[in-house]
Amino acid sequence: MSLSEEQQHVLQVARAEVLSGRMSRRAFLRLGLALGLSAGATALVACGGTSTPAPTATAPIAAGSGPTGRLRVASEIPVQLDPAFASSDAEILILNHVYDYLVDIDATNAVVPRLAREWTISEDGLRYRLVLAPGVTFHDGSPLTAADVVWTFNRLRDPALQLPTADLYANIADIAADGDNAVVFTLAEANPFFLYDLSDNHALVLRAESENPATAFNGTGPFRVVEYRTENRIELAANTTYFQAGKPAVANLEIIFFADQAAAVDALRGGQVDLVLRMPTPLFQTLQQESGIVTVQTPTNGFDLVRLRADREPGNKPEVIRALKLATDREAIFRQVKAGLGAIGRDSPIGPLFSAYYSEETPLPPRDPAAARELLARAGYANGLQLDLHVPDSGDRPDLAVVLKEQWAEAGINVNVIVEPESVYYGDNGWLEVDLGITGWGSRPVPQFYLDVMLVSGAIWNESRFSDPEFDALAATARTTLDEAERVRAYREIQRILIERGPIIIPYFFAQLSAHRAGLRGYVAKAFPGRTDLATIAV
Amino acid sequence: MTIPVLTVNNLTVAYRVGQQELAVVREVSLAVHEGEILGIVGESGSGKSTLGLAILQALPSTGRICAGQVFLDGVELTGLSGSARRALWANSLRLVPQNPLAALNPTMRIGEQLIEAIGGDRTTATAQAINVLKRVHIPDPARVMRSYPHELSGGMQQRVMIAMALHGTPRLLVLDEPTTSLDVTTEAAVIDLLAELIAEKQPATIFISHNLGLVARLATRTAVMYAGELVEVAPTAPLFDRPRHPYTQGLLQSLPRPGLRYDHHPLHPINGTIPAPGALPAGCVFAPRCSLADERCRRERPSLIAITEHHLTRCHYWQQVTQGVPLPSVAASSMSSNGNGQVLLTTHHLTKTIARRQSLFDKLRGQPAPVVKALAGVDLTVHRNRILGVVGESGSGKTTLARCLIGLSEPSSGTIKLLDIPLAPSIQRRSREELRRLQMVLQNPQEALNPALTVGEALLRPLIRLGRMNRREARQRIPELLRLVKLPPDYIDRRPAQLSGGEKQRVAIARALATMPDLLLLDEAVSALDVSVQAAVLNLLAEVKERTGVSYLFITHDLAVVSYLADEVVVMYRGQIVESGPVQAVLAPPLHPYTEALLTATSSRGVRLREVEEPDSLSESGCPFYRRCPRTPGDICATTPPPWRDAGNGHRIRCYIPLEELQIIQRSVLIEL
Amino acid sequence: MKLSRFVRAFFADLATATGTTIVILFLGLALFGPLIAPYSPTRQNADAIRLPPSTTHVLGTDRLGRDLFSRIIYGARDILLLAGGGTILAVLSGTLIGVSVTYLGGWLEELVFRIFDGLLALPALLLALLLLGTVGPSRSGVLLVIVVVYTPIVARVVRSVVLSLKPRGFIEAARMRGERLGYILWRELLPLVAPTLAVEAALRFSYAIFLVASLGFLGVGVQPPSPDWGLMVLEARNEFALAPWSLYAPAAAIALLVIGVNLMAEGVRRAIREDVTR
Repeated sequence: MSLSEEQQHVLQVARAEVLSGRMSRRAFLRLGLALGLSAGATALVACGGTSTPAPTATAPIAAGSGPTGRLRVASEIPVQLDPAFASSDAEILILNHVYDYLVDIDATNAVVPRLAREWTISEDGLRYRLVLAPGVTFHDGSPLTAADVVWTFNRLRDPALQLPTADLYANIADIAADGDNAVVFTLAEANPFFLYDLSDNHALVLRAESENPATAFNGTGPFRVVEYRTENRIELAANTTYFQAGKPAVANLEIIFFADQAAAVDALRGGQVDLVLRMPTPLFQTLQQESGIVTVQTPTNGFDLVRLRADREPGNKPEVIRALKLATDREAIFRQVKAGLGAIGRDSPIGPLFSAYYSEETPLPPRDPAAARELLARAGYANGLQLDLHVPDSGDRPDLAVVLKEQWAEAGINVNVIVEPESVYYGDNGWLEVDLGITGWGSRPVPQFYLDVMLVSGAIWNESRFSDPEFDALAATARTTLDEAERVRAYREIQRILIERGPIIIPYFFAQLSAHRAGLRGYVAKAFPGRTDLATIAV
Repeated sequence: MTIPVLTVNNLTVAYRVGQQELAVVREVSLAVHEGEILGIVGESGSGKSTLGLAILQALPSTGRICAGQVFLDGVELTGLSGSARRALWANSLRLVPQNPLAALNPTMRIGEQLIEAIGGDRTTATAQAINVLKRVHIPDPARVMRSYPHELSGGMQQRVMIAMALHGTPRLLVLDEPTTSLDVTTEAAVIDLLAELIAEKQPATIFISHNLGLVARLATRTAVMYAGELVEVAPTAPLFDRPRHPYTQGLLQSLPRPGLRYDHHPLHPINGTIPAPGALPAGCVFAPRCSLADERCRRERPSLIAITEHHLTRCHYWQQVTQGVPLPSVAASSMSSNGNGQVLLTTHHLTKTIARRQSLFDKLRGQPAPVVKALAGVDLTVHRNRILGVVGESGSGKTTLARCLIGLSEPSSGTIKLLDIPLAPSIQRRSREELRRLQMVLQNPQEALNPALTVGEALLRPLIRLGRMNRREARQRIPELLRLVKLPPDYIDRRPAQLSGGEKQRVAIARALATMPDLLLLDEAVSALDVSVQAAVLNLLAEVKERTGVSYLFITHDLAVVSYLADEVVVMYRGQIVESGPVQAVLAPPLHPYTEALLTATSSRGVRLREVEEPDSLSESGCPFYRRCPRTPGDICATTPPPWRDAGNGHRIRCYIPLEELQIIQRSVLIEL
Repeated sequence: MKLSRFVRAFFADLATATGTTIVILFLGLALFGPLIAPYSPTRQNADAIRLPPSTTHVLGTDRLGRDLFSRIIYGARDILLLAGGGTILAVLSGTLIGVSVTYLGGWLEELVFRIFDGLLALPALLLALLLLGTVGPSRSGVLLVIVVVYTPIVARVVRSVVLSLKPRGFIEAARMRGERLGYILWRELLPLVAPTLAVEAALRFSYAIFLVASLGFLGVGVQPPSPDWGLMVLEARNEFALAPWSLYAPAAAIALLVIGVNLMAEGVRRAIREDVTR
């Protein structure tokens, strides 16, 4: 239960694809990384030139006073703790505090320095030189050198080791130490997302020649492992010689494992933990009413996708698709199903968080069941439309289905809701086959990902079989152009097309729901809770 | 006069039924002395078993002693606490129950149970156990000790029970119908044994039985119970010779006695039925059924009056109770009328083998399944308007024979001919006409009628089905049928639960007779009935035969009934007929040794059969009776089946012993009785 | 057993009468549901989410703003129809198979009852899940599950009665007058099996209610947005702290109906036993 549901199902499906020979292992690994396992990248990256963003590390408490107090965080149960294999929230949450990344991604999806103090990128975009922060030592006292970084990334990209990252880093032609304090990555081809790739979840820097990365825990991170009890908890203590000033704020960090989110929430209410990083909506609402507890919701780019197959009856009739859209009251859905948490969707995966790309230029037509009924009649469904709506039994999706059924019924669209266990819904590619279904999609830092795997003609997970030459061309432009303004224009057009004729409805975007006890300071929620920085939190 | 061992004083016992308490034993007083055997007779519902249980302080939880006391050697038992009562049960009070198998623990070996019952030191107890088993004439005590109850025959089980009851020095022995579940020949042996042991150990004994003959044989004194009351108490001989209560007299007159014949001497059943415990008449309990009763009897309850020192009766008019029925002279009986009856049904070499269940292991080894020959070549002839009695103990094949004739079982080989036309073996293949001609009345009246259907519905169906009548015609015939079996016409709407056992059997007979069959098979049709009811049914059968010309095949183990009712008799043993002929001839010497044993079983000096555990296991080739034969058979009996010998007058016997020899020994035996 | 006596059996004592009253109450709700229910069971109101019980919503509303009282009422119709219909079908098929196969006997009986033994060896819920996994979750699927799960049980009960009746004299008497199989089965045997069946049916009914609710709770039975009580419990489970009434209402309904049916069944069983022993 450590991967998000979406990640799991996508991986599961992809694995089946690999086994059946329809997908290359290489492509599979890339997908695995893309599914939030890599912190990813946005097109914000400036291409070429030099960029030296200002250090954004926060110092929440008065400098000078040492770390004090104990922070207890609820987590799911980690399976293993070798960074190269880390995949779940729980695993990454622990490793993120024992080790360091070269660069980090902040809450606004910006790349920020971590072990790398600064970096330069060559004009051709092939050579990245990163300068390491001074005075960084491993927990065993040895200093961090460029050799450790070189060893770490060579391990991650070594095809012989078959690590999940091998594919991601296949584009690296060479890694070399430039003295003790700088590392130079040379790429085979230009990659504007490379800094995001360097911050991939697995890319934690180890001491060179580490024998047992899964159990040694010899990192440079803000906390040292004191005791690890596999099924129970992990006890960490502040790394007093941590290179970032003011971190960590607490002397002791305890990550307590819960098999069940409801149990974790109960522990928070009972005062046994200080922070719970994720939970389902009703539990969050319950906590909202609790005094002494602060609830934090963070918008994400994840969403539930209602989609109709456009390659056959009745979805191949544009009137039907428009009728469905007209019959849907997104605002009511947002309140009933999501309790107003997150954001209302506009039928496109480019959500409001992608502020540069998000556009409300094309108006979403107001709900009009009568008009929908007319459209259906024109499409030859004068007596209404009868459809099976397949929905996995996870999250709020069954509720979404029930609300849609009620709303659509007014427009003469009669839906028979079929709730299936996830294993049934996603198993045997059933979700790709059904006419009408609801699929959950996890949060990604770049909108392009959704377009490429979900909506472009022939994309591997094009559930709706949407195929639109205009859309395809726009998506290609957004994928390749170096001109940011052109990309913005393309995305704007794409949103228009999806609102007008995309066989999909995206009624809302999820919020990441977390809560902590009052009195906790310095907590910054992230869309991917595993990358939360606990070192900034003071009790 | 010695002090009695057991004194019962004004005992009243009630059962709780629903909300009310019903007294089933009322104001019973009696005393039993050391060595004395008090017989308690009565029909079902008379309260005799309850009385026995109350004396033993072993009433079921719904039963309660409401009044009166029970004293054993001057100690009052009614108020005894648990431990004292258990001590009493262990040492002084003993019971021999009706069903030994139910009383023995099925999971313990006989030896263990005996040793436990005897108690004390184990080695001594073991030795004692073997001794008591020897004492009850068990030939191989060691083997029996190792056996589980179900491995023993019914007779053996009852012997074990008797051994348990009579080890040590019991003070009071209660025999509750101890032989009812046994065959007559076994019953005879068990009664002999009891008589012998009681004579030796001298306990005070209460012998509860519905069988007047057995009580007459064993008891020194007899008490007659009716509807929860003692109606007459007297020494056995005077009681049976000169009953002083109309009920006792009625019971005796109901018995078919030697020399009586159905066509000349109707029996004298007691009219009516025993009143239910909740619905007792105000005056004398017997008044509604009594021919002597008048206003006074219906008003005033008689008390138990001593008419001599030892003879008590509960009747206002005991002096009017006439002497016992005079026995008609034997010569009065003759061959039945219509002796020229034509042949109705014949069987030729009818056999029926029943495969026993076989273990899978044996099946896999290819062992043939063990078979039991239920019928081993039966040749039978039934004449029109005649009664053929079929006599034999359980396991003799008489029921199988009837079921084969009717078609409920299919014979393995042989033929059945009705009016010289072969009958299909299976009932499904027989025509409606054939079904109509052949009907059967089953043994248990309780199961004969569907509890869900009214009497009318039960009688309607055969008329419609076999009589080819429509519903209206059939309905009109029903009162006539009820009249035929002497049931009031308003019974048409009654359900079986509202009928007594005798009435049910009458309905069953009426149903079988509804379509005027040519032959009615009666399988132990009266043996489950009380004597007074049995007499009425026997009378009924005789009358119906006279009126309708039907023939009977009458199956019974009771020779008295056969001698009363049958024209011809066949005696069966282990699936074979061993003797056949006209009834007077067959029941007079010379007799097949088996018939002799059956005939003399009711007498204390009768011929007794040898007891063998599995009489059929050997001698497949020889005489089936060889191993139990009391007449010291020769070697040839074991190897070759005996021939039929003709004793004249249609009387045939299957035995090697010369007829003259049989005649000589048996005449002396029979005269002695 | 006369009809009036049979009816009286349902009110024999306080416990039985209570049970019968509860069952009649729910039957009434099911029958006249549309007249009683203030709202449609599926009507949502985005402005009335998770309202506690009040005069406008007697039992409150759920997370989608649906009136719980109306849902309970329509749910009664659903569960009684499914559990009742399934029980009736199971009792019919169980009786049909039990009576005829047992009466005929032989290898057929052996075969049929070995198969039933096999079915009975599986826990009812597991069997139900297997079946619904094959036919897919739906109303008719639930009906099928009840029939398949309970037919063997009813057939075995019937069989034991028929076995005890088969050697009885009146059956043989019927054979002796050449009665057809059908007559023996339905006219001679069935009336005697009926009391046992009545008890068995009542018992099965109470188990069936539970089974339907369980399947709803496991999400493999009746599908949303049906107001199935088990499904309502499932959906309300996570909201317990927010809207406890949305869990209490269906849970109490299930408990009340099962208790009612059980009390009634127990009373009827006692009455019939007394009738038989009379």
